[in-house]
Amino acid sequence: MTARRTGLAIAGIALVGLAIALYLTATKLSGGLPVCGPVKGCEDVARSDYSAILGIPVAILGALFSTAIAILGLVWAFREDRRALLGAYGLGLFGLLFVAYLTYLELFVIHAVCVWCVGYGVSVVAGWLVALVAVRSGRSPS
Amino acid sequence: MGQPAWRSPTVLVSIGAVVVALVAIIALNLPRGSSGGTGSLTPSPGASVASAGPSTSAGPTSSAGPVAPLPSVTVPTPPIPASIPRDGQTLGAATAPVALDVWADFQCPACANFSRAVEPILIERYVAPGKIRLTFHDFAFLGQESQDAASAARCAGQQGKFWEYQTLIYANQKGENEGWFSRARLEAFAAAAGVDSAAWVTCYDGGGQRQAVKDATQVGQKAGVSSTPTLALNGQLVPLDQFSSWTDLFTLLDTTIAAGGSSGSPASPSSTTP
Repeated sequence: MTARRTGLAIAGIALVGLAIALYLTATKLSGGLPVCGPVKGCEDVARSDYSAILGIPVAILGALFSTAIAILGLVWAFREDRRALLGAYGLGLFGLLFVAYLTYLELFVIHAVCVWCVGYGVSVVAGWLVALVAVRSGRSPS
Repeated sequence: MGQPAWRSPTVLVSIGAVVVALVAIIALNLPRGSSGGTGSLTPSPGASVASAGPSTSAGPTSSAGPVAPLPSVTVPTPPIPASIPRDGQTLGAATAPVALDVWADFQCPACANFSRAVEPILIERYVAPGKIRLTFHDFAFLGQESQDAASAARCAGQQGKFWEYQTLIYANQKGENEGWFSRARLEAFAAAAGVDSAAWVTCYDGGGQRQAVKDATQVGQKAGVSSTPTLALNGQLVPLDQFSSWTDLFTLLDTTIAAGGSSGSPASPSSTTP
């Protein structure tokens, strides 16, 4: 597991998440609603009281989060700065827990599931798993 | 190398991330118990009436919700024009060429969005000019307070105030089965809707509407309703899942009305409109 490979993987996955978050941000800000595809529920989720935290749309928070993870991944890939990897790992863990909370809201409070949000959650989990592998394999045997 | 394993940066970062996440989630939940979301924290001035206070009799379903001082009742605006004819749970002229049927649960957040954001436009653009008639059907599937609220709305309907009452319920929807639609709250809505209290209490406590709510929900299930809100235009289910926004609904209504009332939607037909 080279730093180059894991760093690029983390950044690449984060960019997929960023694309989803930007799409959801655009629909939220334009007052439209996400196109849902076969699974219902995006509309309910995107319109629910929970679609914004302290007035900030969750989608924007997701875009900021993915941008930060992507930057940390790139720094790890090209500078091999272990602090960046630890940052991506820690931020990713935070994101993972938050995504779990939001998914709980979807399933048990809003009673609707949004495929876009699920896709975003998968990107967060996948990125964190790569960071976890990199952190573990990078541990110096000393 | 020299430091104990638990003080490794990885472990410290992990603990930090978990703590921050938990604190954030808990902090977000603290104020949410008593307030809804966007803009409903404080009812606008003049748009709220004092609620009726805890009533002395324990109703059939007075749950242990967030009672103590009852929050004031948010009154939706604009009011439904009194000039629009109404018949039970139907709003609009009987001669209207297009029938729009709505199946909804009073505790479903999407139904509240529909009631708050879409219904006023429907009423102003289509119902008031006599183009469509709007019928509400109970699909009470989210628990006891859904059934209580539906029953309460039917009691208001006996006095011709069903629609006023249903908009009040949706304007005050906060959480599911937490006491937001306790008997005392429902009684306060009745007062806000301008319903005669004594008659409403007799009807509600009599429980005669409860079976009607269950029956209506079963009828909806047989007609193919599986989620709320479900809409049917002249008996044909409206494919809401294919809509990108509510403007698609208005477009569909416009084309249907322009076609003289026959719906061109290819959706599977439900049995009949009541």
